[in-house]
Amino acid sequence: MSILVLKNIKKTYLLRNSVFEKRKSIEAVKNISLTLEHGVCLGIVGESGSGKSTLGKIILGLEKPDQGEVCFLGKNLHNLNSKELKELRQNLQVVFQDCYSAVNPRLTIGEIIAEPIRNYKRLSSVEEENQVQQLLKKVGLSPEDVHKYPSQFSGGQLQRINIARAIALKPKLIILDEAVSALDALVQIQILNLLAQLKEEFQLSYLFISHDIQAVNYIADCLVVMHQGEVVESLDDMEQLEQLEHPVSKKLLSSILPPFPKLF
Amino acid sequence: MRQQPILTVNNLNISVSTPLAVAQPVREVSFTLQSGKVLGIVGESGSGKTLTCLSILSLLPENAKVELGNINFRNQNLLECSEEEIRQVRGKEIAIIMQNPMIAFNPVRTIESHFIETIRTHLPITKRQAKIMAVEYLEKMDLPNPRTVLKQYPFQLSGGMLQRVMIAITMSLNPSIIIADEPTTALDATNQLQVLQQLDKLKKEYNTGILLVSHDLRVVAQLADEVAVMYGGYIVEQAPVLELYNHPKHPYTRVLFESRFGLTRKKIQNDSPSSTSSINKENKCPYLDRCEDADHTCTNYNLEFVEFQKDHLVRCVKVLESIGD
Repeated sequence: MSILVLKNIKKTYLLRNSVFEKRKSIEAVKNISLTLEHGVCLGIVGESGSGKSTLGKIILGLEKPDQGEVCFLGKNLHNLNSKELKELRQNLQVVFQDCYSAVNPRLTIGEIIAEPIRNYKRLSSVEEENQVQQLLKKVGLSPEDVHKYPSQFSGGQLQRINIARAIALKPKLIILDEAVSALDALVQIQILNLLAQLKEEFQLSYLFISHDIQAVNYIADCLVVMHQGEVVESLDDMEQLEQLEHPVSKKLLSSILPPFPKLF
Repeated sequence: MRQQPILTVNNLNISVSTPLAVAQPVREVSFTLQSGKVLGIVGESGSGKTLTCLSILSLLPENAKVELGNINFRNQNLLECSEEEIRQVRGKEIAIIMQNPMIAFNPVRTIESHFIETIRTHLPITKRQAKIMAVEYLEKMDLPNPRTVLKQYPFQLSGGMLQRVMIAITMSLNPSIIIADEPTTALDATNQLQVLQQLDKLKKEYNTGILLVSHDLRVVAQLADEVAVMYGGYIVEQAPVLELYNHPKHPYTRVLFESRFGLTRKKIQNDSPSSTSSINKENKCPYLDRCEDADHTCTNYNLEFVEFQKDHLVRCVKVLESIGD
């Protein structure tokens, strides 16, 4: 059974430039169908404005699609009562691009990571602290960091904390929405390596959304290319990346800067 | 044969006082910039790149202070200028392009009013003339429908477009130096290429000197003539771009080269911790804790530059030994 099936998803936003104008509709996602298997990392690439993040939000249940259904673990996500939804939500986690705004600056790291655990489990404070410290070790931070605040960490470390929070409930699927785009080149590789290692360890599936085809290529097992709300090309085997044919995919590939100095 | 440099930074040291300690995020930084050339500064977050740039325009935050050194623009020491004098330099002579175009613009004012404000602060012309100039420079940046763009607000444009508007505003005053602080970090790959092409065009057309700051070696490689690699506040290696790419000497530069992934799927090993302490009281090699080649000779190293070749400077004692062999 596939972990996630999207059927004909459609989402339109209504926008207007001023109060006096008529609303214009913008089709952010047009008729998208996707399937994601267990233990697979699916990469979604596209330019900014191609509808990647809207799709991520629909899968998370943060936005309701106008049409179509999201089946997660065999259940339609947008058709559940709140109790069933809560049950299902522990298997679905997210890591966003901006690690600073994704954490509450007034909570300590220990409280941030313990939050999802408190939502679903009743643990004594000792057990809880143990779990948090184990999670911190898993993502390569020191267990003594539990009492620090987010402002005391760098971007890369905070992204590790966000990942620790995401894996706290041992979910089945994590949506990584531009999770490494804001980090510098060295830290990007460290985080991608960490994600690959966690994926093996916990049998996770990832939906890796990014504009950077190189990062997607590094971690994903299969790939779809999005443009103006549509899937224009998909690839089941990343080894065949050079064979992408659609003009949008070609443009993405050609915008990779060569690693060596160009001789102007 | 060398031209007279337009900007010389000499032995720059910056300290930042925090409630807990006094940190020194920039140490002994020296470089020169010539007109029509691009100097790239590469380094990870916290290596002191941005503070170096801000100090050139006296835009340092309140708790940061230049301890030592001087910054000469033409024959003027920028650190001794009064506030009024430095205002004349900012924008007109030395312009800066910031990392995040969304924050750098005022959200409640149109692109047109940004243009007019900047141009009329430095040039004695009317609003109408300023508007004509604005259209002209927007066209040069290959922005479609410049007249419509002028009427729009910053949030109505995409990040890539805004960054090009920013470059257009910068160029309208025809400065001698542009400081581009991570100009493409917030943009996606296709926009990144466009912005880099525009900067290259500027350099050739107007003979502007560009200080290009980035954490991404690939970005720097496309434009720079000379590259300085910064780590823990020091410039650890400095060389012409081809020389650096063919013979990286400092261990940190080599790590940076290995961390470019390009289109590889092979896992790259990189486990070293990334945080550097900028307190470093004993003035030891900033890379000592992460360095794989380090041994007892490193602890006594006084951090003087080693000249590996002409114009190729390395701050590593190991290189000295390899020359000796």
